[in-house]
Amino acid sequence: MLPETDALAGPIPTSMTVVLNSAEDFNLETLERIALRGEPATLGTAARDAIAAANVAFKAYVDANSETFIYGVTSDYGPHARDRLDAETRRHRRGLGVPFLGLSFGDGALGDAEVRALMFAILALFVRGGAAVTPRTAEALAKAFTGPLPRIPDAGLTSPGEMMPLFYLFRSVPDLVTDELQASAGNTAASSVGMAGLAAIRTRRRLALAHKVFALSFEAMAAPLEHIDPALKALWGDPYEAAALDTLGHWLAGVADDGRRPYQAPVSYRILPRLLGQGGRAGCALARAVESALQSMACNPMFVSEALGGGRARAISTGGFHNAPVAQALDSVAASWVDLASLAHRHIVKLHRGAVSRLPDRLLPEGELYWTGRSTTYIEFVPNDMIDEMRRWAEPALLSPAEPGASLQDDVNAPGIIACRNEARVALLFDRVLAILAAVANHALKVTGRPPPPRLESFAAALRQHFPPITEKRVLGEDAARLAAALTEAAERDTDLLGDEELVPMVPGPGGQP
Amino acid sequence: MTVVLSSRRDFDLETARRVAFDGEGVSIAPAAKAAMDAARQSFMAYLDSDRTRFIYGTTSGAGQRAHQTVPPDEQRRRAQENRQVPPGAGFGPEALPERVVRLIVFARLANYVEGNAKTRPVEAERIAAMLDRPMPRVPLSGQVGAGEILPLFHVMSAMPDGDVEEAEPMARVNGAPVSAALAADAALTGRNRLALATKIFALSIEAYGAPLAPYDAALIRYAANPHERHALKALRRWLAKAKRAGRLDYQAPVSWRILPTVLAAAEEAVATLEEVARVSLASVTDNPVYVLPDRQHPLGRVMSTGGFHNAQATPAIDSLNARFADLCTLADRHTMKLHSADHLPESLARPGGHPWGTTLLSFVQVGYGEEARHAARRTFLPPSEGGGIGGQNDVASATFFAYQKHLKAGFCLEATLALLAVSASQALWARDATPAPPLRDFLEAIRQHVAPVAQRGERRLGEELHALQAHFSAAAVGAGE
Repeated sequence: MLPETDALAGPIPTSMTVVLNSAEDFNLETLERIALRGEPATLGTAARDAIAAANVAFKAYVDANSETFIYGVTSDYGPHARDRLDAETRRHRRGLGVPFLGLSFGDGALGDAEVRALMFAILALFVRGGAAVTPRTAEALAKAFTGPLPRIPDAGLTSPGEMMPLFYLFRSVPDLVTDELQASAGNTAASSVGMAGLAAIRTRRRLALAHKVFALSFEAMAAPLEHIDPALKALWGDPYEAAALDTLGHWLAGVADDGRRPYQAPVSYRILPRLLGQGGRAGCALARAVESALQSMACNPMFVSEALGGGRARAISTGGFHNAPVAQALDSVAASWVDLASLAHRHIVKLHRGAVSRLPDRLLPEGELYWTGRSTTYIEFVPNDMIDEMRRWAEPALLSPAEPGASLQDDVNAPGIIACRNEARVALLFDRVLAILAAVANHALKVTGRPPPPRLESFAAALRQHFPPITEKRVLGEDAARLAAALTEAAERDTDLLGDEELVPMVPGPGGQP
Repeated sequence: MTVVLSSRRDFDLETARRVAFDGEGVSIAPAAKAAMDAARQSFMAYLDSDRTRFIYGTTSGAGQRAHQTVPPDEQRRRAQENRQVPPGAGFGPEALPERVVRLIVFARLANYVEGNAKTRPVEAERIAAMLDRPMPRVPLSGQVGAGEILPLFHVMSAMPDGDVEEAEPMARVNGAPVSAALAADAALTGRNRLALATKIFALSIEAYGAPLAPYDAALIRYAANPHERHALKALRRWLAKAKRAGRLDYQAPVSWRILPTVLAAAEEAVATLEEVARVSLASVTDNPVYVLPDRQHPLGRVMSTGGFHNAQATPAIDSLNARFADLCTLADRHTMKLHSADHLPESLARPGGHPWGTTLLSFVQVGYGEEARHAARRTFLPPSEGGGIGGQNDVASATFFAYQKHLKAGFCLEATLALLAVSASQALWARDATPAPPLRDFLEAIRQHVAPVAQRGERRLGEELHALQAHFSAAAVGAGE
């Protein structure tokens, strides 16, 4: 029997209004509260003072350096960056507002959480100071969390930088584009950083769900417990694999030693801790990438005031609108979902193969034939096209070799939004495969008259609410779809399948450490 | 010099580099021999206490025969029947570099030195002796299966002959030393290749006359991402004392401005791979694994595990392949822009030179970039259950495949960097400029392979560029450029 562990931590504390004062206040916890839970945000006094000071310093800098190149301030934009604008032309240009009202389109619109996350990341930029926006601009954005959100199409958003979604935001929050002087109203990687933050939050929960479902499958197979023995932690020497071993051990605590397989389970069971550990490594890397991005949002141009510790004040052109580490981290998470889905499918198939599992062949109740419809058999075919699709979506979001537009200045796309879209789709498909494994594992235990592990009893009961025990022929696909949707919901908020108190520090969380 | 192995702590990237790149051998320290001796004795006591207990490959059959038992009085004879590891069955025209085969042999010993392989010390000494001989050929293809037995058959069949006892044959070919070796090689060469890329992109900044603002020191203080800080510092090192006058008076194209973030992602990929390699080199991954005696288990324990499947090496190598592809894309973009910028001589030709100058270099970039992006495709768990007869070996390890693509990605990166280096050299020559002082010796080294092109005439540019790429490749497996 595995030793008892007490690895579970408490839920994330919440309150009603999130007060944001400094870069450190922009993290996954505040992102979750504002973007996912819909809490309002307000700028604290320190933030307002810092923003006002940066804007004053920027205006003074521009006054003193009107001949210096400052992209979009003393110069024209994009392909015309080389052209300088005098003060009068600058004022005139600012008065014209945003040049584009929205250019993109797709199948639908970004979700509210995604839009709020984008706004949150821009607010992080404002508070950090490099955008040197006016206090009115920053306040307008903070207030926009409580108002109607812009409808931003869900495709056609990729370009060098991430301006395409902003055209919609600028229409919705006109005060962002002021006729006052400021360095940047949001020429930063806000969409990808914000959406990647949501992915990081969901990854933590999704991985916690995966541990529970795979533990249930492990028990359904009656796999030998030595495959997840705590002694492996020191032998393998990897903190993420150790975390996976601890978490699997937690859920399987109290299961019986006797009656298990007398020899080793298939490879797909034995390598579980290593695959889940890799999921943890990828999830932690994503959390780290997002939090460090949020706390140092850069833009173009970027104002480096003396207060930012950069010596003399200056405005510099940067590539702050492109965040490559975030895209890389998203790609790794997506790849992990594919491998875990492949593993889940192997489990689904093996549980149905009596010669391998030592369970009733096809998981049929005693005396039943498979066409009576009182088993989960044949559902093992369902993940095939899901996994095929996942493998396509999980290809890395590489820099495109194409010249993305007519401007020879803007010559490389930012891959972050594509990486977010890809990971989100792969994760959704993963939930579907995981739902099937959960239903099959639960059925395997029922058909052999065995209870779930003590710590998974309520989870198994919750699974049955969505995918009831099979007592007669019915449309199993509808139940599986319902369960998959419930898992997707649980990957976002506290539900009967995953409570906040079940989130463990050993899987990816704020701070990114196992 | 010889690397002395006393414990698993002696398996790290530095000792790996000495064995693989410097050709050093290894010796087993007395402490390790004593540990193995003690472990072997306690293991045999454990085995003798119940020879009907399941110990994969000793009291049971292997693979799909895991469910079959081997009678106690046949167990030693079965072991002796496997005195020699059979040669591998994979084949193909290309082979693993010899340095990597040495790394596999080196990494193999991590299971042994503290006794977890449950063998006599002589087995470890036989393996160590392999490093004093020519390495066997390991084909690059046909090596993807459950665990790592396929490549290990090729390697360990070259092990010096000698008597064997219970559990020793399985210890030779189980576990994941191949993934550890491949990760270590990709990490060591990846670090060198990234340093080379940083230097050549710095040269490109100078060649284009790009403003230095995107590499401003303030951004180091501003960045919360340590890899971004590292990338900025590395770029700035090469740009130290760069002239500020005469540069473009507005921002350079995006492909120059995003260098810090793209290099930061590559830096993170290398750092992750280094971490993965360090963990993997020192880990015990056997199946079955012998857990040494403790108070609760005075004879130790033998456990079946999935240690033979290294799940972290493949994605880590994949990520580096992807970053290499991205760097190829930036090199392509820079090469093209150097040849088409309004502020640089047309086609990078000097007055009176050939009107096409070196524009051909920009054409040549395209193919290497395409190859690199193809090599950057993800390496997922293979869908095939080939070898999974009986349902046991149902998931293959794909690290070898990821590494196979890595060799291609590495070559493509070196090729695109050679093209960019020569383009940057040409741009500096065409406008009679010198780069920042730290880059001047490097520029000379580039020009020794490919001198500036005044007239194409009889120049065999392809051969010259290939020589430069080969120079970069040698630096990648040495101390770096």
